[in-house]
Amino acid sequence: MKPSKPIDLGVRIGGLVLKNPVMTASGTFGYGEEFAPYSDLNRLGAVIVKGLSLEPRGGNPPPRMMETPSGMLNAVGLQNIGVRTFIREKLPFLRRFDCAIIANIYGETPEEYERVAGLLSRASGVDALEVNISCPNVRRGGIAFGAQPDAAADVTRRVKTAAAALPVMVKLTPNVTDIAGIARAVEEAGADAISLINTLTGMSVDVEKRIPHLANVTGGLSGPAIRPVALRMVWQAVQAVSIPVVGVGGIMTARDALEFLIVGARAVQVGTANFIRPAVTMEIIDGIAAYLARHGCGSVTEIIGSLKTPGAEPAGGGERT
Amino acid sequence: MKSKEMAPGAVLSNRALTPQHFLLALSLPPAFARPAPGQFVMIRPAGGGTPLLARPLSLYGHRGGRNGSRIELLYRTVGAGTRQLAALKARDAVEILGPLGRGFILGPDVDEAVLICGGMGVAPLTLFAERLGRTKARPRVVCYFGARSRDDLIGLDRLSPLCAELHIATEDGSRGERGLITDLFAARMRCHDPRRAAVFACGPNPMLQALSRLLAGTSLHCQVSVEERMACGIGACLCCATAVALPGGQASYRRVCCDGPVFNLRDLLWDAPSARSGSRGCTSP
Repeated sequence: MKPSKPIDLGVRIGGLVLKNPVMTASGTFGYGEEFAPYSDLNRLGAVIVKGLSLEPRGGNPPPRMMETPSGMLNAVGLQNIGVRTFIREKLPFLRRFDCAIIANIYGETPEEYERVAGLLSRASGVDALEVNISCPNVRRGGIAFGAQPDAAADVTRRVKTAAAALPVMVKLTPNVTDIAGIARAVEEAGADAISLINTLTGMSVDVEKRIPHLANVTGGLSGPAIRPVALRMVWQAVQAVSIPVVGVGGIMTARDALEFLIVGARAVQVGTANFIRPAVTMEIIDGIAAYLARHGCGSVTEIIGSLKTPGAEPAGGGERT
Repeated sequence: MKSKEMAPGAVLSNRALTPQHFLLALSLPPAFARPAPGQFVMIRPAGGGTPLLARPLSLYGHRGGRNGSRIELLYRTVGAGTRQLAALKARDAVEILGPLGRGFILGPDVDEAVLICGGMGVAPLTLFAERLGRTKARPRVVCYFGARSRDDLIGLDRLSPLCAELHIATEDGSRGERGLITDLFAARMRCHDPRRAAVFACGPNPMLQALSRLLAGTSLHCQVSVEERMACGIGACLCCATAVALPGGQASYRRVCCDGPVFNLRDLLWDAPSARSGSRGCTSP
């Protein structure tokens, strides 16, 4: 559906300007090339690539995935080709497209995060970094840094320094008791934006064999099952910080994406839905434009943070800049 | 920029062969490419809902024409996803991604194709046997087909005329030899000259593992179709990892969906810390 008048879908995430608020969530879009035959990468706000570590990682043993009600559990374990191979072999392909490229980074130690960030900041073509301090499927690093405000702040500070001019977005885990506290700690440490949520830790058992469905025993839950939790946490984070918040979690349709924008997310990431319909992000972008046209909005920023909460304080109050 | 897309398919028929086994015929638009035997599709009923993910099923039959393709999928109901497929009726709409993955390849000097099918593993190997009959080389097709019982020998009618020799084993002895198909193959293995024969197998993991032990000391080349649970089918989710040995002897994970599903049997690792207990045929929950 084509809107009758031109609608501005552009948003700013710190220093990063996106042509629309739709990104692909890390780990659900490969390195972009897997989706190029099915989807027009030029139309995306940003591609966020699979989490990159300093050295290649083999990942967890199979089985790595189990479908659960309205969602899926995965325990891939950050299998990736390593940051150097990414820069050499994957980045040149991605650069051919007119969309922002965000590299998701991961380290087992704070120093590793720094080094990965440093390598990417010197590679031409990366527009921003997303710091994964929220992977539930690896023993070291990941969530270990994301569950404690001090540790999260330390990694953020180091990456921010190493990243030089690149905007830094920090991806938070929902597996904490106080999301606002972590969000504020990361903001104070210099993050340009935060994204949330990563997967919720979960588990599933084969009752006939009495074994876990995943070799890793536990995994990360994603898909529509987690959307209400994600939306609530995004709404809380928006009120806790003044840097842009990017909403992630179970977005399958434009309506789902709009929920996040309305509670104050500056942009959204589409994850599990990519596995089901590889061109789903195109439908979501068109659907947001159609909604804005129907509501007489000239710009997507008009709806960001426009949630009306009767009897409560306004949640977002428009886009903060 | 887009070169491929999810194809809308229409159900032509969905026939129950037994209470658990179904033959699904679909009509697809002309954009659906001619599949190689061993390739698969990701399929789900149109319109979304639960279950969320599409299911991978290997191609059992294909007929292409100017106005589109007709494909056939043979499957067993083992979970919510396949039960949902079983409920499809003629004219229902489905979404199809494919054909996906790497199929079986007939080597240049092979003039005897030895097919080893375990249960629903018969599906991709039947398509393969059909295609072999249409190649210039026209290798002799020798087939070993095993299942739990007579009633589980699904697709025997279609397979049988494609084979010069057909050897059957059932675990309960209700048809053919009593026992495992790999035992029957082991007893006759000397009949297959490694210089001119190649083995192609699809079936449950224990069958493939037994085959791996049998062929370890021989020079018989063997390609197998492997199954793991998948989310995307196009190489992005990294869920369908399977362990392979690298030339240096190190272990590494490969994606079944796009590095496979057909692998050289001798590349697969069986002692990797994984529960290789499931089926690697064309059954998926």
